[in-house]
Amino acid sequence: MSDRPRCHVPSAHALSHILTPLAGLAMAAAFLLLAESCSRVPPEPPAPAGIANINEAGWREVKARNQNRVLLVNFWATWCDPCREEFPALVRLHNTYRGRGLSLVAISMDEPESVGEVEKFLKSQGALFGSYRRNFRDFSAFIDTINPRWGGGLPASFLYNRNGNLVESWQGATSYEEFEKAVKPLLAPAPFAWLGGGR
Amino acid sequence: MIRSDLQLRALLAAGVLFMSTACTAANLPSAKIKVGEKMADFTLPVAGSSATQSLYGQKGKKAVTVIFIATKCPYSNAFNQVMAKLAKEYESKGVAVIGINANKTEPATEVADHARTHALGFPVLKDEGNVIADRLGASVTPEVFLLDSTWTLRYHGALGNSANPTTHASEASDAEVRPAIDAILAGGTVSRTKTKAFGCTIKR
Repeated sequence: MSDRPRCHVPSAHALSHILTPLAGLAMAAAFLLLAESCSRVPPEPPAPAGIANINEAGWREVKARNQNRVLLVNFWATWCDPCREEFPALVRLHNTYRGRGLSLVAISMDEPESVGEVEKFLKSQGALFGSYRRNFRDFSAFIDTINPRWGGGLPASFLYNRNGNLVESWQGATSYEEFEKAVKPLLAPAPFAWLGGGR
Repeated sequence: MIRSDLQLRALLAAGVLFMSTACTAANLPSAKIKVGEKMADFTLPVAGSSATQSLYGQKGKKAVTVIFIATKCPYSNAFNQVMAKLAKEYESKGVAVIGINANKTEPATEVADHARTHALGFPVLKDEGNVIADRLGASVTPEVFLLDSTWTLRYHGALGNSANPTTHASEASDAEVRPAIDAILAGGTVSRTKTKAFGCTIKR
């Protein structure tokens, strides 16, 4: 008779009883992580330092940089009261949804001398998104590049989905609720929204 | 069966196309009158007065320049003197200028005061309820609709494609509409019939 401890080797049948639930759990976890990673969106492109100039070519670059993100572009001017009034809604919208794939770009249609006023206003609003100032020769050409249906009035906003297609547009002051109603369905689900904690 | 299936698919595709078009265009006003079309008559009160004025009351003029303007919009105001000069200069040539204020935020008395203060020198009509702005699809101030003697729209858009009018008054110009008026007076063809009327959105 040997003193060596006896090693119990479970049978294949007993192993399957232990491993099958574990494998199932691992697969479920992997699936959920995969689902979460699929719902992730590319990070927001870094905003240009200060207020960058923009023309027709620059606009195309902005769109390209925001590929696979929902893009809301707002045209405004410091001399435009409704533009200033709607601006807090844009800041709030960006702060709320940037993590879910919303990029916001504000294009000031102010004149070069007003750049100080533009900077001051953006700072007072706490705007963390990319800001540009018009730098083109022809209003008609630039406006048509953005959208031929845009009459040229301020404020104006254009919403593009993750494929870069225009899905909504506004001319005139727009409320947070109106923006949110159009933006929200285009965004990625909130992280782990299935837990009930997402917006 | 195949045919009805195809028809159904075609209908669905048309529906989707219509919905997508309607969606993207929903909030962007667009001109309801196109260059080459005849503008129907309208009658509006002269701001700050009990009088009214109709478009067709300008019968006999060689051209009529209808301009949507504002009292508070700095961009529109940058063109006040340009408009006043244009009206004065072309009056003797048989061209009428009519201003229309359709902003719901700017009452008739304010519109009349504004016209007087800035010596516009042409009648400014008050479009309560945006009736005429909606009919024409006007959406911006300043925005020009230039008609010939048959009330046909010959030019629609900006007074002038001025780069920096709010900070440099001298840059405000009528460089877009002037050649169009001159072409009508000369009995010729307007070469640039449409530009973008950049400015403030008309408050509806």
